[in-house]
Amino acid sequence: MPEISKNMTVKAAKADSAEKAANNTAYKTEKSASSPTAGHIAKTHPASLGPFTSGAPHSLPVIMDCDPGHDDAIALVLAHARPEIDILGVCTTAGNQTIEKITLNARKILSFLGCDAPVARGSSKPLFRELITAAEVHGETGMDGPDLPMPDRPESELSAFELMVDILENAAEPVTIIPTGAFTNVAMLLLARPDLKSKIARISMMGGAAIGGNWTPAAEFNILVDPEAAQIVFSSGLPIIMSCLDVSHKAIITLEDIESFRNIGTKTGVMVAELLDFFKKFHEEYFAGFGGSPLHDPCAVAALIAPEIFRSVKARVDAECVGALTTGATVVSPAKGETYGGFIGRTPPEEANVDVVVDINREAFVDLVADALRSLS
Amino acid sequence: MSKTRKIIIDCDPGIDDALAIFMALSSSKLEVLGITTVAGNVNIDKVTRNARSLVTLAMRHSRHGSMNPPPVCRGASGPYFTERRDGGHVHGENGVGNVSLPEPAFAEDPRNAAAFINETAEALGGELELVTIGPLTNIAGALHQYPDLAGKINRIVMMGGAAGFGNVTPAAEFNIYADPHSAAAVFQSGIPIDMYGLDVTNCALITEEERAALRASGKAVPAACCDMLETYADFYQSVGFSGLALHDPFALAGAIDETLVSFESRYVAVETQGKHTLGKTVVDVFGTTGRAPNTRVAVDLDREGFIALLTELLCSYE
Repeated sequence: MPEISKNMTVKAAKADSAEKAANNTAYKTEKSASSPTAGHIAKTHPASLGPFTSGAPHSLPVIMDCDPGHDDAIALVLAHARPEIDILGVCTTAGNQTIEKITLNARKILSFLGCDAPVARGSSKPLFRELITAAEVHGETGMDGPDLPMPDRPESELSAFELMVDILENAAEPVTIIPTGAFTNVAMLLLARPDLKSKIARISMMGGAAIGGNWTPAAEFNILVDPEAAQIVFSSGLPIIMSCLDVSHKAIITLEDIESFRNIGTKTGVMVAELLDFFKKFHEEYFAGFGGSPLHDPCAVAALIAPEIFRSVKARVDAECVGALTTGATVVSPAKGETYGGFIGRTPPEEANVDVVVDINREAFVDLVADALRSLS
Repeated sequence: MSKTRKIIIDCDPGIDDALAIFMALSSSKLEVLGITTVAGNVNIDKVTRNARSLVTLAMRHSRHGSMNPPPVCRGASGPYFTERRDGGHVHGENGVGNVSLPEPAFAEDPRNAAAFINETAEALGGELELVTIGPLTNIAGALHQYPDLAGKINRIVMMGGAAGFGNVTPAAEFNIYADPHSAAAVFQSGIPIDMYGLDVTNCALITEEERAALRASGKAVPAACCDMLETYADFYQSVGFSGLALHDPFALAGAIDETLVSFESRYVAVETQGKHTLGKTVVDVFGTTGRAPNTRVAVDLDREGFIALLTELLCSYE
């Protein structure tokens, strides 16, 4: 079994720890939870998700807001494959690569999948800062690896902002937004059209971390790219499900998983395997302790489809925007009644603004992805 | 047996500081050359008086008969730039759980903490280790005042900070938050640091049974510790802990016996500007800063071994 956690794994003392005492669920102690094969995920579903089961009479309408990006692409594949999700539109936002590159990538993926949702180009830079990209992780194109054909359908004539407004104004029911890149588009929407908040059911995002970071010691990439935008989202009052590094660093895809995806034999299975063939190179070099690649962005989709395979903690979350060393950090303050990372929650529950997703049943997650690949051609 | 480590304890007693001082003074592995005080858990007058009272009690019950007390030198009365914050709600109004300690039987040393640290470091030629279990104001002040001092300190054993969650705020631990600028200067000093943060000290818990066993020894020093810990217990129960986190004693225990702790070498710096993150120890777990490690961060512990050592040392008093 690969040992993924380079963080604290406290052995003997955990038996007496406050964590265990305060944690009267069936959930295992953090030692075992840090294992990629941890089971016994407690039934602590994100409350803001509400009842939503497979086979429901209609699908959950969503807007994907992304910067593909290998893991964004797999999030799109997962959302497209699952009957519970209805992609109304795909917006792009500069992050993993420039807006030109990632918008093309989004169109290529949707064409490949045969998904008819419009793809609308979004912000080319953060609200106040210069753009940083992640070519080290995603390559020159932002989605190096598979040789995908050029898209067979045009980019939307609307901007991402206009597409979001159009979808929300015409929505019969509140729409879920799934941001898996920087939060620039969503922040602009919330600032410019606060009246449309009532048309947003929830935000299920990938970003941040309760403990640590991946681009700096304290910051996760999506938040670091545009921390002010993230703080606008956190302050919005909307229900937020935040799949952060605490969970995505446990959503590990091993070499064996990649081969099993390839061996499914569908062209989507092969394409995803080729994405992961490239994606793993960075993680083998810089995050070797993981034993594979963390599938960050698909967690934000999976948390909606299968909340039962995740554990989440209610918390007050703020994005640090003025730190000398910690800009882009998400400061997570668990609510009273919650315990996580040795911290006993003290935030009044009414001040909690986010369901922070912190743990996952990895094997169930891999099965979820594999099933999606099996269901597509 | 390994060589005796020559230390100065820089502290703000403080209930857990008190236990750490008792441990240090009874350990044959450590030679306590002095105790310097710093405002932290309570104000400088109280912590300095507490330090002298604690040493007086330890001397009175020393198994070695009469001993000269180590010098107790007064240090900084507050942080450099931030407001002073008190820990009185944890440690009681007098700083030691409102327990009555003996009148100090010796005078305060006339030397200032920073001067004493520098003088001692010079005399020892590089062998001195600092055990810091309070805010880092004295150490930063000494490093600033004596530019050559850093090269004369072998190591700093520090209780402070966290790689994960804080305790004063979600991001910051008390000793660092109490004077983030001083802490930042210490981490930048180039002196090798062993950081005992909340990641381990929140797990260095003493249970009610283990406290009862200490009291059952019938001796004065463990009894005083148990009396002080009553106040500490009120606080820890109020925040939902199953035991009492012995932060400072665990750092001291690590200085005595490193087999009780495992470390990971990391680059650590302190946030001095964040709105939500002021006083956070930023630990570079994945090497994203590209900077060489300056700190051994304690990440794991042998709790039973720690409690055994604590019990042995406290019960070794007459």
